[in-house]
Amino acid sequence: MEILSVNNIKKHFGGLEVLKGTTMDVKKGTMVGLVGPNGSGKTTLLKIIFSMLKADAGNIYFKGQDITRLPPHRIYQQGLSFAFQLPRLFFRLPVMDNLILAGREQLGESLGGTLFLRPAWRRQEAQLAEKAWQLLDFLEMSSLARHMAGELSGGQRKLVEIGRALMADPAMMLLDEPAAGVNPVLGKKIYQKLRTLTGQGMTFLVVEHKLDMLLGFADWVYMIDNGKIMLSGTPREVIESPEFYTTYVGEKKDAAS
Amino acid sequence: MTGQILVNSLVTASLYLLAATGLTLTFGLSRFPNFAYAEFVTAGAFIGFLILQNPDGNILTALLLSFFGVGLISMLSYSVVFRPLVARSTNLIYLMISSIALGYVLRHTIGEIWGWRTQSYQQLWQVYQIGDLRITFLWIIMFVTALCAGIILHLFLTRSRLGKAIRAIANNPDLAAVTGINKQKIILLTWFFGAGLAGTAGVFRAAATRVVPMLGWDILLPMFAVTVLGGIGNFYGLIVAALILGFAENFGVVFLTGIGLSNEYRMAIAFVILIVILVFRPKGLAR
Amino acid sequence: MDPMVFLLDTLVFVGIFMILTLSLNLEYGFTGLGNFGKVAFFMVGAYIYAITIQFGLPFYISLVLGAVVAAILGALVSLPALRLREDYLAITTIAFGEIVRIIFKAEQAIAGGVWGIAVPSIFQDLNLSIRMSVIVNLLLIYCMVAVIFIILQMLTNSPYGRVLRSIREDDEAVAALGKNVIYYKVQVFMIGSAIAGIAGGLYAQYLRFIEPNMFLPLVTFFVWIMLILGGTGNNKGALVGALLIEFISRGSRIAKDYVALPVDPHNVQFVLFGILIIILIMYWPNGLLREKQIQTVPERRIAHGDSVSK
Repeated sequence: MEILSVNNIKKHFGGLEVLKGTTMDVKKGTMVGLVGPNGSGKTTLLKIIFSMLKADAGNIYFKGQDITRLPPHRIYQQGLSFAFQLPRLFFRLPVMDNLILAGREQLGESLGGTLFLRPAWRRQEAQLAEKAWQLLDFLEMSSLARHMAGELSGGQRKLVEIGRALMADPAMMLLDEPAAGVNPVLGKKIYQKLRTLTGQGMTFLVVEHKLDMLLGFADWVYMIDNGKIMLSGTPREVIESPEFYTTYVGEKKDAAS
Repeated sequence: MTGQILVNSLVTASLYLLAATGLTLTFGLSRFPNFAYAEFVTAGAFIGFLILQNPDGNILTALLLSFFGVGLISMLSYSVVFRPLVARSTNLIYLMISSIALGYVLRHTIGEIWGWRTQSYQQLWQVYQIGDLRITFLWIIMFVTALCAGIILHLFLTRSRLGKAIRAIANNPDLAAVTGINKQKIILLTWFFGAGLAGTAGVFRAAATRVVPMLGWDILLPMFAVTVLGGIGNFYGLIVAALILGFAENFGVVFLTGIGLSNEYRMAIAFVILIVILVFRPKGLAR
Repeated sequence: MDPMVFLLDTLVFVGIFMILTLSLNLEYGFTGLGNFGKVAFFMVGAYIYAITIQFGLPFYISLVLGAVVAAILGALVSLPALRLREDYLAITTIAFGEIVRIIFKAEQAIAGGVWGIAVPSIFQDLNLSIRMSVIVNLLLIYCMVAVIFIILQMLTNSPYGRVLRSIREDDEAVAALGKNVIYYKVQVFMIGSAIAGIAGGLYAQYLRFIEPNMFLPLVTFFVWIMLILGGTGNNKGALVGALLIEFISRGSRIAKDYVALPVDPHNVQFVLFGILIIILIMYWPNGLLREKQIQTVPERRIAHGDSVSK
């Protein structure tokens, strides 16, 4: 069953057509990769799905519902989350607060709730904190929980960015190059962890520059070039197809080592 | 009647164009609105006062003196205050607060030197009566100055390497590093030239009204309205915006007095225009 | 003037400015919204109070009315600019401050125009001495300071405050985490304006006379100096900043009676305040008191016994 359907999305910036009618589907409980050379439109597509950019034409359905015109915060509330390629953390807040903020439907987040539902939101806060601790354990960052996000290294920021998108138990996550900027061993670990979550029914759409990262993890890969889906199949099928090599001809070493 | 309003509108537009050229260019280059522009205008008025407090003072001398005087004040304030702040990656809001603070420093220095009482230039401007139209010599100089400034700036922005660079940086601040342009030199030059024009606007404003330390602050609102209306950093947009606001104010005042409202609401016209642009065309007319 | 009354009077102004600085701290210190027209909402609160109290309303109703009108105006003014960059908000609010003053100045019918309007004291039936009357006002104002301080502490030290602080850091990222950013910004602007409105009402009640020239942009500028000196993002800092700056300002006013300066002390004061703020921003942007972290997250429960310490 499709959890996400992208239907004939078009987008141009000025005179440049970035997406020329892109269509793709993502099945529930799978990890799907979106690969393509630089400037092929993959990040643009991801941002359009999450409404951070507006599409010129086309529709996006999430869990059967048209989300094309919903603002990002509503999409998040529907159970779709987004991890930026360059981490967008709140630098003058501790790592812990960066994570807790991502919790959905917090009672203490409304004006009335903050003032009048104090015991209730404090209980909720404790639960969220517990969840954040577990995530930090997995990311091996528990000792940094009280540090300001601005003090973290680039790789650590990346981990918090991904952990944050997991905080709300989303049905589906959009990730923009989750392994970029972290060491290769940790990159693999991130993919392993995400892979185990598909077993619990979670779905991932991952933009990845290096297709080989997805081998053994992704169930399906779409290759995008010049704003159009050129190829799709299992990572193995895509990597062995001749079109893949022609597309990546300039970046062969980088893309499939 | 309508003819007279049209003339008045052109005069107002010339004033706003001169006053706001530097504001929009430095806003585009340095990425923050410099509220001290009000006091740059005031400083121009008072520097002009040095010459024009004598009945036989020459207005061209006054204009030149104001241009260079205010240009230097502006360059100095950039070097001493804003450049160090930008180097410390001060946030936008603190940059704006600093420019307001600088405004107070300048305004009260002016108040200390020249006093707070209302003063005026001692010139009598020749009045020409053409049919129903009443035109003063002052207006003619003002219009010609604005026209010359516009043409010079146009030639500079389109023909010279430096001018092209200014437009390039205003559109894309990262570009300068690529093309190897000396960004600091460009910024200093813009701060000098733009503020110099604001200084001449001060002389014209003072000649038409009176000389007080609040002179610049009183036209800060329309200055910002034309800057936003024209699109920040966009000189050509500014010309159109100054004309639009000039007409809107002069026709608006007639309308307001027609329905029995005080002409103090002249300012409110600029404000309404500002809000309407922000709602419907936040990037200004051009885009 | 009786020196005791002068001191008490200074403390009254300190209290008023504490309220204003607290409100700006909520807007800028916590949420990152640069309100450059604080004085407009202060003025609206003062005038609504002054006008409605003439109809014999109880003073707290007038105070609330001032706050409500200020809040509504806050929403109307901020809404067009909040979706845009922060410099647009600054320009709109500074412009709004001027417009409000122009209206009250031009319209004699509303509240006396340039001539101002007298405000009946709520304590006039008590036949108090000057000193007692200032003391009673002082109590009233500091009660309000305390109430507002406590409410703001609760708001900012909570999940609500966490959302606000995050918006200050990166509002697009907050939206990507499911929060309606515009909603929060407008709400904060309304609360901030309402608080400024209350300060205005108290000001009018204390002075018993208001006129448009009491509400120059200078007031906004002073509140900013107080906030930056005290430390943004810290409510106690806002109180300290208001206290220090008001005392410095008053002190220099006394000094001019005793020290013969060759220059006008009024001018010197503003030049010095201008330089002070630039120096603060350049060398000491965090102010006296640093921002405190949200204290509501419980410490880790050692439930699994395998707490990873890496």
